[in-house]
Amino acid sequence: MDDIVCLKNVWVEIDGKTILQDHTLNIRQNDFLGIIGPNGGGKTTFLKVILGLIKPSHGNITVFGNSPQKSRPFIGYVPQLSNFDHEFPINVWEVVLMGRLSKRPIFQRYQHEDESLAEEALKKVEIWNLRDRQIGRLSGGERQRVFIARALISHPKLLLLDEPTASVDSKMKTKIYELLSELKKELTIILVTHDVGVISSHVDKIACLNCRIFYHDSKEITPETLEAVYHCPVDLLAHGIPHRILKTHEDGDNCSC
Amino acid sequence: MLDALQYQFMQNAFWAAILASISCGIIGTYVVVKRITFISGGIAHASFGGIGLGYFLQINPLYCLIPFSLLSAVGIGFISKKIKVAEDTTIGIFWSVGMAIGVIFIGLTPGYTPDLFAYLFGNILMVSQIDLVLMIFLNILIIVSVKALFKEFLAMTFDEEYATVSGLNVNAFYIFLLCLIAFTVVILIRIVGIILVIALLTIPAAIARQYTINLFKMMLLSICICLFITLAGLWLSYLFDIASGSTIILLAGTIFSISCGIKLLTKKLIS
Repeated sequence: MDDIVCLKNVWVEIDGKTILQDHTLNIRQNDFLGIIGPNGGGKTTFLKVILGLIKPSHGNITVFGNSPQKSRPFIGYVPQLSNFDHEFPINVWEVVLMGRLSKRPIFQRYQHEDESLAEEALKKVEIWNLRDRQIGRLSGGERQRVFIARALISHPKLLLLDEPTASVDSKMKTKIYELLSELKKELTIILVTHDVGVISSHVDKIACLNCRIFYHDSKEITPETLEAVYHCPVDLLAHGIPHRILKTHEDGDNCSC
Repeated sequence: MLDALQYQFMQNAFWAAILASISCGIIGTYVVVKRITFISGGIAHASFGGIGLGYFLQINPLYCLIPFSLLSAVGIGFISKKIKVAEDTTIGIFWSVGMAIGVIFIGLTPGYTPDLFAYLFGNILMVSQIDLVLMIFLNILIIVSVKALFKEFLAMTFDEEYATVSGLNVNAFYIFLLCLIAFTVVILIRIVGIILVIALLTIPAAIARQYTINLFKMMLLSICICLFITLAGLWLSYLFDIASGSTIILLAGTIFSISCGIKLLTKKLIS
């Protein structure tokens, strides 16, 4: 089976407000899909629907041919960094081990196997030397790698990343994208970001999301699509391959559909 | 101090300080890192209803204290998680309703209510043998639970969303943690009283946090700090003949200030 994630007419309404409107799309194996869209456009909600944390109001979603909840063991999730208490007394090693939580039953400690997997994951994202560091004493890019390692430790088949390049300097951004390009050989990746700058030169496919989703199974974004997503005329500047988008104005028309 | 230990009540106070410190260090650590100080305050104050009921029924108030504090823990957790009432609102409601129930029952109790002041502000010198047995039992429960569920509690307190994605029933664990807080509150009420419980639940752990980045070490360190504070506070209150509960809290506050001062100084010296 080629389709990893299938959404069919998925709507999400929270407190009477439409967050996602009529999403129908299939994400295939080994896709590297980038989803762009303005802040508050529903990107995080989209990922949470795939994780089964938010149930669609209408429509149907399957992940690996099953319900999202049942497929969670195959999904690696890298949440937004801003959600964390950076002062929490926990080090890199413990955070990464947490990725094995679903594999160990309640009452059981982490085993030797978990530790060797943690070592492998930390070496893969090149932060093995930082393993004893408290999570707050890392740079944004290093911290992002910790959460990628936590997602990778259980060898997921699908990796979801929420704003992985927010609060990361541009050099680190490139390194993170290089890492993801390496990873996409083995797994399917969905990445959401409002950072349109770099994304298109790294991902294979792009979707635009602002309540509605625009997805053409390719990497082409037309000015018309962007205009529909950002609700305003957008200039597309092409310097070779990387696109850059300049918003000319905001018209405050948010997603109420 | 040493010759005071020949008295039974002093020996009881000594053991009570040790037992309280163990639960206080372990559970206080979770209270501090999960930032739920005021939930603990809510549970403590709400359990005043249990004390009032105990007086009214003419039984040891401790027996009513346990179900009342457990009920308020589950109530606060359930209402804020499931019915989605803001947590601080829920805390405020339980806090005041529990106290109101207590006041009504005490008003209905005929005659004089002895030791009421001790439940409000604590009196470590009044800890009885039965209290000690109860404390030992609750301590065992806390230690066994935390040891068995350490990785689950760590995941839940650090990152609820990831814990959910990993298949953990986060709400159940959260409410269970609140129940353990309720047990700790029961233990601590004998030492510092309802009104001062949150001080002992937070100050030792807050000091410990300044010196370690590991949750388990933070627990051990706050147990030691709590033990020092309660024993030294007991000794000072004996020396100057002042209220033990308040002396313990004031000492804790002082040590916290000193610790903050040291942190500030070392930061300045480094930079």
